[in-house]
Amino acid sequence: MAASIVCGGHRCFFRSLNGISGSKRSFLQTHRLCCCRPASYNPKPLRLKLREPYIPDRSSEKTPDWQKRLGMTGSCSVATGPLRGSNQRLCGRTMRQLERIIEEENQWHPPLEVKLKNLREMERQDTEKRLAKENLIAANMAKMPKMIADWRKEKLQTKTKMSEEKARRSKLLAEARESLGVAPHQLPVAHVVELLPRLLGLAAVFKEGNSLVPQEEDTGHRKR
Amino acid sequence: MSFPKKPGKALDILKNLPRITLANLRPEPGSIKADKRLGRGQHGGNRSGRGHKGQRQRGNRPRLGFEGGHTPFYLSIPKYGYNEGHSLRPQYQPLSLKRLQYLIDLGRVDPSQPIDLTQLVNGRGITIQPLKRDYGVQLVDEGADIFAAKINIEVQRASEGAIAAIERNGGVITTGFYDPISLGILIKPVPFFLRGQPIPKRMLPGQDMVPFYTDAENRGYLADPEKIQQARLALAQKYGYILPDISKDELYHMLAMRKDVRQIFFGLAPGWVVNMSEKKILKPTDEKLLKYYRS
Repeated sequence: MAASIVCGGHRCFFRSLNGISGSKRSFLQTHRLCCCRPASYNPKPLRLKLREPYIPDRSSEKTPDWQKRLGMTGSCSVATGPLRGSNQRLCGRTMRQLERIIEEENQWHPPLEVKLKNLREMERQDTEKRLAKENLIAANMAKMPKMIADWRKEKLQTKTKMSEEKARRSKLLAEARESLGVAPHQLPVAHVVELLPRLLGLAAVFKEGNSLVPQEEDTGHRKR
Repeated sequence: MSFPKKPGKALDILKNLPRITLANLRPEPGSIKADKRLGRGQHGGNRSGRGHKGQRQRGNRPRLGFEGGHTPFYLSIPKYGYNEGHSLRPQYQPLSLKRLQYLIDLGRVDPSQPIDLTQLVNGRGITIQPLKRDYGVQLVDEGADIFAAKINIEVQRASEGAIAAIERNGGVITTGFYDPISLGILIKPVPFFLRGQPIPKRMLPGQDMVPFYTDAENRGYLADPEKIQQARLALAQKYGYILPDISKDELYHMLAMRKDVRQIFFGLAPGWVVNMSEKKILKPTDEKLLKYYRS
């Protein structure tokens, strides 16, 4: 893809125009700049001191204690410091540190299989819960037609019973009015007291649902 | 990077010019604009652009948001949990395809090598702040119609349109997870190598992110390669383009390069120590260490 073309004492790199956008490509073609590299990014130099790393003198009294300790970061590390080459076997880690790291990782970072297994378990539980809910709803819905039919039947029965009851009461009232001459609630109190035993007897009959009109015995009531 | 380059053309020119002093130098016309100086002359003087009397002129204006004493807007609106847990949510810096094409055109990102977050940051295409809960970069499909580069790119998230645009041009896109420590190392590799610590293992994503990175639709790095191929075909059908065959490409070797699950840098394995000053790499030899770094 990149070929070097020597021209005029300079080496220009000819890059293929595959990755360059359409507008840029047309610009390059029209201006015949195919032999020249497009404007490159020229970042500021970093000025890192890689050739003269600072290595603290362990024998000197002036170096602070913390720079003399093992495993210090920065230029006192195993890569450049006085431990260069000596700790290559462990690459700066003591056995105890390594064991601690391994323990921590096993506790806080389980392997992928464990995570996938946990995810499957969570998914399974969610599905189970959802299915249980749906099944419950379906079961209850299946009971609904029968429940509706029963309720409707009960409602009809109540309605007919009420209407029958109403008819019977009006019939009994009519009979009572016929026999007493007036509506029962319009009788004077003295008369009611007189008629009380009989009325109580009639109430019992009324309760049992029988007719008030006597058929064989003489009730002894006065006609008005 | 910082090593002194051999003296070039500029030095030859300098040698032939007369002595350069401050008296011979001046800025490019139009590059320096004079500052506005207040309190001087007819236009900058008098009230010096501060207005007439009052708090404005005397510099005693109340704090931002104050509205004269009644309950200000920012206090009258009730709180709601929109920002709850915002500091725990992972964030991904957006990178549009338009910007990526711009970077490639300018030569800031080299498309002939796999494009990593390191390459994007080195080319100053994007700024990642791991301490601000940034977990990486997400590819956004703005500029998908003008994108025309064949690249092997690794990002943390990508929209469907962006994946289609890259694959349409014969490129390869992968989504990979970097834990915050690995991310910090990835975006600033040189300061990390100067520390002299061994390269750590890249941690696996958390349980909530595992489904994302095992999904072939997202081109996750933990997904099954066969399912990824099927997803590529399905996406090509959906967006109506013919999927180019990468295996017959001249850049197949570069396009097929992918990092290991535990690898942070291409060509460097976890456990190695890089010595930049002496240009050496130290590798562990202890069995326990090797076992740990290979797990």
